[in-house]
Parts: sequence; C-alpha cells; structure tokens
Amino acid sequence: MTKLLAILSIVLLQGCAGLTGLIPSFWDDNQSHRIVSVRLDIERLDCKAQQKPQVERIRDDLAWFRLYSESKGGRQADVILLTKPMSETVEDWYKRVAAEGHKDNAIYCELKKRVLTEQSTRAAKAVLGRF
Amino acid sequence: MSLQTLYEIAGRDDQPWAATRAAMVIAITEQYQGGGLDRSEYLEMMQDLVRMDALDAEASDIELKTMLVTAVYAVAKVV
Repeated sequence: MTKLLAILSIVLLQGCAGLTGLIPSFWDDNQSHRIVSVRLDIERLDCKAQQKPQVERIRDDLAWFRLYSESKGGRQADVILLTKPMSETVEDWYKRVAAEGHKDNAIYCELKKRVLTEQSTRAAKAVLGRF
Repeated sequence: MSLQTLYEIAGRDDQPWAATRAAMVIAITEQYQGGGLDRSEYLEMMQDLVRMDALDAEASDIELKTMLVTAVYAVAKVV
C-alpha cells in the first residue's frame, strides 16, 4: 500500500510538472482580500450614475492586485495571468469613459457589468480556492 | 452560428457555463441589432467574451494544480 501511494505521488507530481512546469502559487491573505474588493466594486456598479469614478475604482483594485503579486515575486505568474483578461476588459472601458466628450451608455455599462461579474466570480473562486 | 442555436444552448440545464455564455452573446447581439450598442462597443464586448475563455482556462489550471498539491500533500502525510 505504501509503495502504491509513493508511486501515485510521483505520478501526480510529474503530471503537475507536465501541465505548466511550475509550482502553483499558494494562499495569500492580501490577494484574497483584494480580489473580493474587485467583486464588491463590480457588484456595486450603478449604471445610472457617472461611470468614470466607478471604473477607476475597479481599475485601481486590479492594478493593486497585479503590483502586489509582481512585488511578491516568485510563483505569482498564475494569478497575474488570471486577472489579465479582467484588466483588459476594464481598460477598454476606462479608455472610453476617459475620452474627451464621452457620454455614458447605460446599456453598455450593464453588459460590461455582466461580463465582469462572471470574470471576477471565476477569478475569486480560483484565488480563494488555493492551498 | 445562428441566434436560434444560441437560444437552444442558453436553455440547456446540463451545461450551465455554456448557457450563461450563450445568454450573454444573445444579450449583446440583441442590443447591437436594436441600436443600444454601436459597432465598436459590440466588437469590444465580443472580445470580452473571448477574454473570458482565457480567464476560464487560467482558473481551471490553478484549480487543477491546487487539487494535485492537496492530493500529494495528503498522500505524503499517509506515507
């Protein structure tokens, strides 16, 4: 039985190395807190109110997450990659609302909110589910 | 893929993630066709859906690696 478990461990470790060749990042209180802040920012989005300050808040929280993870260093590449698509989604939105003469579109905002809700829910589950 | 196919996928209970994604494509397309979104907004929203796939793949990778680490840790404790 012990031999079987040892073999299983080796198989699992080799499989892990084959998947990415990297050890995963582990639980981090600050990352966990910040990713939930992102979810909260998105949940509180009010598309009838001015969009720019609300988008800035999400953008800042995502930037904080990225900078913290980069500063922390080794083995954080997975969570940085995880939040990159969300940052791109927010950045596109920010460019619009920051443009001169921009007029807020509530329909666009509602759809963006829907996409970001999906993205942030998935990202938070992965970040908070780590060992 | 026609909107009809997307409606069918959106109504499926066995693949909730696909149903959610299809519902989003429908909502975005209907708003574009109805004039609620301009072309650049529509294309950007579609790009966001592609980005969602990239995020999904990354999240699944982290979850799988976490499962493996947990399993190896459990096995190591037993051995």
